[in-house]
Amino acid sequence: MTSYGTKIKAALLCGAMTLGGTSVAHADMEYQQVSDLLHLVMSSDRTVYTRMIVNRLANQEGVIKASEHFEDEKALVLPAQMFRFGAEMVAEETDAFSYSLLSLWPINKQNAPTTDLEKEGLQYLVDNPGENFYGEEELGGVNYYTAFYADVAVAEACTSCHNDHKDSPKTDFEGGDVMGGVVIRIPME
Amino acid sequence: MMPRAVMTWVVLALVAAPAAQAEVTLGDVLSPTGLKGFVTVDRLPVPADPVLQQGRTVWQGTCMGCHGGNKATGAPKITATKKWQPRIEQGLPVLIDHATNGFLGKTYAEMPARGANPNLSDAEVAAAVAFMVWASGGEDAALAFIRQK
Ligand code: HEC
Repeated sequence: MTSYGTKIKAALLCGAMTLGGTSVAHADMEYQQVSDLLHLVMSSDRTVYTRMIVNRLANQEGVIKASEHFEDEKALVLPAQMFRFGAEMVAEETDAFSYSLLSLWPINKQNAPTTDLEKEGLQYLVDNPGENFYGEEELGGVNYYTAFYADVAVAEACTSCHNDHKDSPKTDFEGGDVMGGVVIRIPME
Repeated sequence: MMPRAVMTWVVLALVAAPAAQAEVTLGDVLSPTGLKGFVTVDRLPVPADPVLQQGRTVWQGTCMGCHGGNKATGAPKITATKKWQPRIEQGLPVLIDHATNGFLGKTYAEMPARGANPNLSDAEVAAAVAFMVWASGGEDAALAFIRQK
């Protein structure tokens, strides 16, 4: 693809995202490309938070910790929580797309897959390291383009917390394991 | 549509692939940025040395998820010689220490102790490091380290 094409598509993405209520995907732009770009932004932001805030201040400097109970413990929110808060904010703002962090082994049952495609997609991510999964599904009379991206354990804190958590259905995660997936859903016109 | 001749060639290549795979050599996989796409263990050569072979198995089990090329983790990708060269220059003892005890890099990306798999023994972690060095441009360093042990 030419860089010219990339620029036009990026401009469309920015434009579409300001229009709450319509789909982010423009006729000119592939659904897959839109969701890949959205995923790139959200995963980069979370990675920066993990490294520059949590790892630096909690692991390197030791001045504060990150905790699931961040209010009680006056701690930093966990990267996964930061990610979910972002998803909630987007859901309040627009119907053009939505995203969530789901797992076949969720600590919180609300984050288990519910649709058939979600079950298939999450299993695919576990079985095919390094690959994404894309599909379409009809929910409540609306057709959706749904993309799945592996969510990998990037830190010792991810695996130890999940393995030791009383509500965790899986207790033998290792670093680099696929713990779940980011699911991005775009209504199709 | 693919022309028929190309299609036949593609089919032949696919059929021939499993046989060719056994002969993958270091020369086929090494480059400054490494193999394209995510590197699963079956894309990597099988070393002759038994310690490195053990390392390859450990690597597949614990290290591949990050060092296979998952960008979000910040882990240097196996086969990417440019990423690995300055690290290999530190010497295997330092690399093994970092892999065993954990390590935060310059941009605060985390290499978890033992790849966050506490069940790995010191020897298994060391073998996996030696294998990754061997398959990332440090063949001489890896073999010298093993011989000296
Ligand atoms: C959770 C992801 C993850 C897993 C799993 C993982 N690593 Fe790493 N590793 C990293 C990251 C990130 C770095 C780079 C840190 C930096 O320098 O920024 C790294 C760096 C390294 C280095 C270079 C250290 C240095 O001093 O430059 C070695 C050696 C290494 N890992 C070995 C291993 C071995 C062996 C395994 C499997 C037993 C493994 N890693 C599993 C994420 C991981």
